[in-house]
Amino acid sequence: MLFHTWEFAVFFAIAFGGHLLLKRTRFMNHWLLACSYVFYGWWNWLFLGLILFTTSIDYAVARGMAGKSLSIRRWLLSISLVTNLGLLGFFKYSKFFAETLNQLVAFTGIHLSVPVPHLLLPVGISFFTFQSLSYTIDVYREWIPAERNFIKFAAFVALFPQLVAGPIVRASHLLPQLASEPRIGKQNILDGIPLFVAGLFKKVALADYLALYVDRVFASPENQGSVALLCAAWAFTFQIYFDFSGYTDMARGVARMMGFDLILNFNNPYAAVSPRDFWQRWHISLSQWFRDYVYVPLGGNRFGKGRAYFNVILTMLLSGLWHGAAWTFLVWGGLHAAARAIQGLCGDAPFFDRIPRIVKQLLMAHFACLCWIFFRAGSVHEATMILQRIFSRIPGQETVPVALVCVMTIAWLWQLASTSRVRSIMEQPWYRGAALGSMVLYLVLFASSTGGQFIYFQF
Amino acid sequence: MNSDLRGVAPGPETRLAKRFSDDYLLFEKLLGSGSANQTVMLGDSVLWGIYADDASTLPAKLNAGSRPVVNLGVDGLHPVAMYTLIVKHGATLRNRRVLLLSNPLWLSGPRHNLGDPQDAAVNHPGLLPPFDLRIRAGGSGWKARIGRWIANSWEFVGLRTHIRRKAYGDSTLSEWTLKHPAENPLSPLLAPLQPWEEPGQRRDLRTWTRRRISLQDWDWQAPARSLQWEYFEKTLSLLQAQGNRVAVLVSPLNVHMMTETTKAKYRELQPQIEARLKARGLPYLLLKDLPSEAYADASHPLPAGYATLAAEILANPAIPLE
Repeated sequence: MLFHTWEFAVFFAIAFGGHLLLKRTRFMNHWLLACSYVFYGWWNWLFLGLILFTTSIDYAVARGMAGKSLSIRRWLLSISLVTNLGLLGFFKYSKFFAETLNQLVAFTGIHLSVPVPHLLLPVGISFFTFQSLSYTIDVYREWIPAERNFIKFAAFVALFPQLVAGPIVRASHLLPQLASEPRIGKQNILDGIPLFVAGLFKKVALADYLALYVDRVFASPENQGSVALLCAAWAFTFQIYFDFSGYTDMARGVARMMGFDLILNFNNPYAAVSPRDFWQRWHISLSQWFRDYVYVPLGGNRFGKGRAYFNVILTMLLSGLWHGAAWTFLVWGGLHAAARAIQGLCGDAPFFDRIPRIVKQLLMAHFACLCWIFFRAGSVHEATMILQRIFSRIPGQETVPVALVCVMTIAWLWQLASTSRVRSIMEQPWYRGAALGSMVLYLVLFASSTGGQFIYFQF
Repeated sequence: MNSDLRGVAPGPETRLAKRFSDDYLLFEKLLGSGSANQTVMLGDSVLWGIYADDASTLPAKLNAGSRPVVNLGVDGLHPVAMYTLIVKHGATLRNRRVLLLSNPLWLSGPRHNLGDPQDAAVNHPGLLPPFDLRIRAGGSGWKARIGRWIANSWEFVGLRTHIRRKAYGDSTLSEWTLKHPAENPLSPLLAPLQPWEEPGQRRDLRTWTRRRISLQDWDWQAPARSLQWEYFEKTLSLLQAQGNRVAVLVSPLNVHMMTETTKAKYRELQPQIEARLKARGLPYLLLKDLPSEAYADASHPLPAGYATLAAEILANPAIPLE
């Protein structure tokens, strides 16, 4: 169920009520787990078997690692890796691999094809498998002890505010919170509700608005002029930000009301001054996951610059592939990988320090925007066609909506302001109150009653 | 909203603009804005006059009598919806003269009993009584029912609809900015309210035969088992209870468009309707059939048809318009 629905409102009222009653008892995690499974099963009850299976495997693997030698721990970890990545690969990538293989085989002229499976992708599989994997890897590294209580562990994996679209929370951050009575006071509500409202506003008022224009232009990009395509690319740049960060804000707001803290997942990414900075601001929990569990194990930057670039490129390509089983996501990841590598090569040059911050921010935002075209387009061919049309100055019939441009401009300036000295004004109670009131007023009076699906649910 | 409505009282040829058909808050305000000696006519699109200009509708023609008549017909307003409209928004109608136009087409089939949960294309779903479990059309899940209850209980929902209809018509604010890319989305909010249908709009004045509508076969629902008739009678009771002086007109359906079987059953239906109205002790009039060329479809007359009906009503002392 989506956060911005009546079903969730009723569900949360019941879940929250039960949580308040049980938070001091040993049944708190039982209740949280039951609610989380109801939440997850609402999409499709068949998915419950999957999450229970992976949870059980990882629980047993971690328990088995306790006090064991490195070789045994490694062997057990491989079970967790094979299970989680195997299931992820099966549900998410088997169609992509089969189609790619068939294309390659056809290219060679051999008349052979493998069947292409059409599987229902379990919601949130990319998120909860990564979350659970981070736990088993941390136990393997002996960074954290194995959790003895199955219910608590299962509640950690499935906690409903962050289950289907993150943030991907580390066991070291969440398990201690589940081990003690959460504090739920006035401040939780005062913090949680504005966060939820802000997320709802981002999704319903902004992301879904931008989607109207994006969908229209991307439905037939070959018929659009350069200005419309560029505008749609920018609109998607902000649509995906508002969509994803809006969901995260709602998740964090819900968790905050329940006395839990989920990590910040977006930190004004379009105010980034460089590719590295962008990835420290965009989908922070995923970036950190790939850093800690892919980049660092590959060697990080410990084996020289060349190897470091290779590790960065591979990590970014895998990050792209995580987002979707299609060449467009690989290209998207590859572009960011190339940017990171170039930054690594040239970033220490004095020349870069002399570039004004605002110019760096503009350049990085433009780069991110052009990369998002690959994310949104239906194919690499379509994305390159769109880029070609943007840079060919092709005239078009479509008039770009002024209101849309204003929304995007204000959104970008807001992000810049949030990372500048103006931030202190934006943290004043009167400012936050006015912003909250305006958002509520807009939602009440103008928002469409039918919100769209969240983009990141497809991952 | 109240300042918006200064000076916009209904007149002899005004009718609510179609885009405000579901702006029930506006309807409520307009109900209360007319003068006490006006007769308020309530009904559906037959009253509204979709195939007539402002001066040719039935209420406009009835203004030839001595007592002023105003057209507060609403497109698609079936009896169930009318009941909720009066319950939730009709307080300003108290003690006024009310002339209800009843359209027997709402008894022409079981679909109008609103019991089919697959039937999503219901007029005025927001006015379906949320807790009448017999009504399953237009969204029968708990979410839809609670949504309707909220919409009719909380004025801000009506205000939201009003703002949207006034400024953006059928579009949301977002959709409007895409349809009017160079315009300021705030300017329609600040513009004066124009609640009435714009005069001079072209109407399709073809007869039903020129539209090539075939003969119709209907499964008539007797008043005793018609949900629409049940709510129509509830509306009569409600109006009488709140001090309204009520009279009923039953509009004549296009019998020329019916098969012989359907026409025969329709003729059996008419005395049943008449008996029920008589039992209430209300002034009523079952209007006479019009000639074939006076109809645009199954129930909507053309301007000449409205003129004929108006003459019949004005000549009948049972309906107090003189």
